[in-house]
Amino acid sequence: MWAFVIRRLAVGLLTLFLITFLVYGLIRAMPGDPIALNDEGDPKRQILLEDRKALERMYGLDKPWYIAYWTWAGNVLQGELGDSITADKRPVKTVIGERIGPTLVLSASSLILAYLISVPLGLLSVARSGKWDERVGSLFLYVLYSFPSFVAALMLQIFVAVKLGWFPLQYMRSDGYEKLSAWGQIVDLAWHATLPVIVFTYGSLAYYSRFIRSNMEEVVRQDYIRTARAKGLGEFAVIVKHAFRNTLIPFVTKIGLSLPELLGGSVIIERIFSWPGLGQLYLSAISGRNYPVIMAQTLIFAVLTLAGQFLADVLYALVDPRVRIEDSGE
Amino acid sequence: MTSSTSPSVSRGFWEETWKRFLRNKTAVVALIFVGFLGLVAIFSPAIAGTKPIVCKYKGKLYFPALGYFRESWENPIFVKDKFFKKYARNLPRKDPESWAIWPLSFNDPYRVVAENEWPDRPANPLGNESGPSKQNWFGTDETGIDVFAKMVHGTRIALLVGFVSMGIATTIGLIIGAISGYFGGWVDMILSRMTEVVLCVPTLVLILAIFSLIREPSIWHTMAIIGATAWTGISRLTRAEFLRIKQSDYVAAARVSGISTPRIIFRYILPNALAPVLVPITFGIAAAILTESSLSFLGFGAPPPNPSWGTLLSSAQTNHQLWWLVVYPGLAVFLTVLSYNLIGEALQQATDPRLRERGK
Repeated sequence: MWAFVIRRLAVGLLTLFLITFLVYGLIRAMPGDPIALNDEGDPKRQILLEDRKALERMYGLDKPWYIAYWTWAGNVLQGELGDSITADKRPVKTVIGERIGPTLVLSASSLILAYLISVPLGLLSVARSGKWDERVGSLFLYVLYSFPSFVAALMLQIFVAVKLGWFPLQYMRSDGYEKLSAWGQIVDLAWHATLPVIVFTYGSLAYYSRFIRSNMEEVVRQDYIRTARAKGLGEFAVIVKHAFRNTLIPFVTKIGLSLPELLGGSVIIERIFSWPGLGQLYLSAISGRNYPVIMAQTLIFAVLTLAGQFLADVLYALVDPRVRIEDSGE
Repeated sequence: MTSSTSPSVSRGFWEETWKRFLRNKTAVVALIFVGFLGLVAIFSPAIAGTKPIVCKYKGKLYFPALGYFRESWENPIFVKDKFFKKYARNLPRKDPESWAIWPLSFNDPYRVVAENEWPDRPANPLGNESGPSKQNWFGTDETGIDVFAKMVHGTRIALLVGFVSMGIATTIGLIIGAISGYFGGWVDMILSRMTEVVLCVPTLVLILAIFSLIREPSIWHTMAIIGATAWTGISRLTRAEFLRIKQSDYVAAARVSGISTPRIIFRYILPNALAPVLVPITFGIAAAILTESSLSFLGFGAPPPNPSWGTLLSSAQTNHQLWWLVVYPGLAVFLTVLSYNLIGEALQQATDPRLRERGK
């Protein structure tokens, strides 16, 4: 088991190195000078040649990318992510730190909502399998699953926010947010978050309930389910206790794999709702060639993706002995 | 059941799959819808445009509408005679004997139709009054360009993006998956790492980085880049199929009888590995269309004038009163994606042996 974990970890680190190396090369190859891009327009900030050289040295821009990469990697190993290439030169950690909250508000609440609704929905569709209400419901879920989220966001904006005026069109807070009481602030935030959370949730909701359903379909055909029914157990006990528990492994694995979604942030949805999250930061960092910020966000995303895969693999190996046997047999 | 999957009657397998596919009524409707989109794409210049489909001018027949496919296909005589693309006004003026057959909707996807360009036709409306009308079936956008014409011509882009980018992705995915599955060992190790890296690098960075390196980005570049990033699922599945099939006796027999390795890979194993790969390809087409429209929406697609559905959607962001800029192109993207997903789902059910047995 430990050999498996260590080998998997080593492979993961190698992949992480390859990813960051590749992305660093790619973004340095993009035309455009970050220092000029972030100072353009303001004549007062026209940078003197010497200052410019100092800045270039500070960000490693004076060296070719394959050498500057090692400086960056060395700093990361010491827990240092560098400073943002904007006029204020704030540390990348602070810049990213203040964006994590808004992104989590959306992603965490939509993830929790999706799980809370999809589990009973999926189980219900197994229980009612083949009946007309299940067929209509399943078709509806499939339609939801195929509905592009940015189209849904635009439609909600036009019809619910503008025409009906039920929810705000954009932004995370109202104008007088600071003057509100603590409770008022929470209500205001929830009011602003409703539309984006709906957009984030409905797709994964449909996806997870279909996932639960297709897993359950295999299980409910097993003999032990027939036995459970034969001994007179109620439908609820059969489906929840006997069948659903046996589909928990792939379900838990799915949760592990959805880890990067939490901090990935959606570029397009955050932009539509002008939500100050990580997705918007990413987009502006790319167009401003803000290398340290792009690299930090790529690193977070890659680590989370790999960690999710690693967790899923280890969980599988823990539960399924065949994985380990195959592994040692190679 | 077993006889239909054995390689000796492989044609029977595809016939059987097709029969099973036809039993799924929703998928057949979806397939018909995709066929309909294909027709719209092919006949787009005849459906909406300001150039005649056929016209007789100075004693000769011309097909100016073909210019919508490629600018050079428009006969140079019309440039020489100073038509300035205003055919309806200039044809009778420059040659009273001329006649023309016009598209269904007299509107242009690239420019605003001016007043009296067509006898007694007012100019395209602008602003909040530009909703769907008899003249502009789906309304006009914030510059006054007809939405219906844009969408009809955008169908070409949507379909091309799906097929071209997935064609590229399939080629890359099949080759990488086949090589790493067949050879195994360190070749597999290297190619699998490569696949993992492409999977983990954020697609947006990859796409934007490559895009910024191109001098004059066009819709073809978008297709190539989407194709170059969308092959990982296909290569993983192909690899798994090759790992399984290369153990078969018939492959061993082929190897013993001295058949060359490329021939074994492409002629002996690949045809048998194709069926499960078909499913991610179909889903991939839907995803590619979605990626293209998202990219155009964010403003990273081909520069305007480009009648992509995503570009239309992004123009709705400037004025939230213009609901027709969201509803029509949004529904078009949605229905196309839904159709491909339904077809993919039906293919999955038709080709998966476990699900097939269940159906019996």
